Amino acid sequence: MALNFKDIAYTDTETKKPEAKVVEIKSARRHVVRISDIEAHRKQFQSETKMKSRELIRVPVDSIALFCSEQIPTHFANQKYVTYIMTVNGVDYEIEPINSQRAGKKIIKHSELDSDQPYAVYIKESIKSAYLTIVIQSHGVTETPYLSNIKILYGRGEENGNV
Amino acid sequence: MDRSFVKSLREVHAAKYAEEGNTERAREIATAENPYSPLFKPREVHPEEEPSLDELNMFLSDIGHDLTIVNKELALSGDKFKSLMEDTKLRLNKVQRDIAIEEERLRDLNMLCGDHSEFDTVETLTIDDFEGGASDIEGVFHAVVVEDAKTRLYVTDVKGNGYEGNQYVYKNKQWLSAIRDTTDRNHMTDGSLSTAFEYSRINADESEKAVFSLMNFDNIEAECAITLTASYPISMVQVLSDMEDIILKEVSVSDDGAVYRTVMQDEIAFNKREEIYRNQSQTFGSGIICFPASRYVKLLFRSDGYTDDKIAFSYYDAKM
Repeated sequence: MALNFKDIAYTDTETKKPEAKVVEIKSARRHVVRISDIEAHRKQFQSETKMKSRELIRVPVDSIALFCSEQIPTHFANQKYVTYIMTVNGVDYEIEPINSQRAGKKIIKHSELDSDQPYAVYIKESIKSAYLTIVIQSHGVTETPYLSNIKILYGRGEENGNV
Repeated sequence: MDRSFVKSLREVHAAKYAEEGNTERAREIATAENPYSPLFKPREVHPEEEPSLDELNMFLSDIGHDLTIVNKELALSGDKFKSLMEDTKLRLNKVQRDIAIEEERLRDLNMLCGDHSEFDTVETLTIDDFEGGASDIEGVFHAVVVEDAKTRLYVTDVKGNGYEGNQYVYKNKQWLSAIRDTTDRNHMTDGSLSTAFEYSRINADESEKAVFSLMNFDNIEAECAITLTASYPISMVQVLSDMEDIILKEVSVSDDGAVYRTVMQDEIAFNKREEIYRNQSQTFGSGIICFPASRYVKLLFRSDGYTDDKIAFSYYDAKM
């Protein structure tokens, strides 16, 4: 024998669906590190690279200097990896960027006075011609120093109120 | 827009009718006043009318022809819009570059000529100002490359004091994560700048009554260590981020992926261009990070400040 039951009762109560409520947190602050991409290359570099600028002088100036950012990894051996040569009026001067912590000549300046300053080279004529040569030595075959923000600073001396 | 293909397709279609002996239809198509009008002409069919198979085939053939033309026209228009978009993007990029150059010039004048009063002009040199073998990566010079192979990078671990992604950011009445999900670690190595990975930490005042489990009640910055594995030993990575306030805290490398040694511990805001005036020993803004050649690299980043994102969370009100 089979028994077959049937539901004959029901309720009017509507079943409420749970509602998602959004609560804003007024004092919340999100600190974030966002990275779009990380690229890696396996490069091999020439042991020495020499790059020479175009003529830098359009109008004669009285002083000239170089500003440059350098990234020389700390694990590189203690030697010189980047050399800057400023050729002024046909004469080569080894210089250091004006923002560098290294000792050396950082400004080439026109002055009639004989002066000896550890950070400056004084020349007796205005600067009519200048070229910058940068020599980069790589570290082994696979590593190199990186340079950026190569900027030349020009000064027009007395005409501009500066000496 | 070159629409000559419409005419030639029409001629082919008319020739097909002529071959089939339907000269009247062929003539109608070939001599139409408007060569760009659709071939298919809707015809009312009486419910009791006996359908003609030939006529139905002709309608279908005409509809097929018209759809082919619509398809080609859409493809041509799409191409035109694409090239217009690309052209606009190029022009906007150039404008953006020009603005950036001008901003840099003004900044140089303020910072450099301010610090060194004997100078009154600053000129930035680019790769085009040099001859010789110099190579550059977006304005960063380095020794000439004799061999270059792109190396595949894998993100093997991310650890920190917060959570991955942009969950809980609520913008314009919707969750930002639903529009732009930043939880996927592969976004860091997919070669695309339109995707990104985020590591977040949410801090709030203790007075908040409604809280969720990932909230903190302090002012500690978000910190995360990202472990990368390369298919070959690498000595440099370029980390690209649109955030200036991102600090590289530490770099560690490993030969076996188990024992790491720290090779850099100075905190640097490597993406902040203004730092160039204070610190000479980094190429700020380039994203270049150097280390001894290794296959395993761990980069520890931290945030520096917080965003203006609106933070919220949702819960289900289950009261009946």
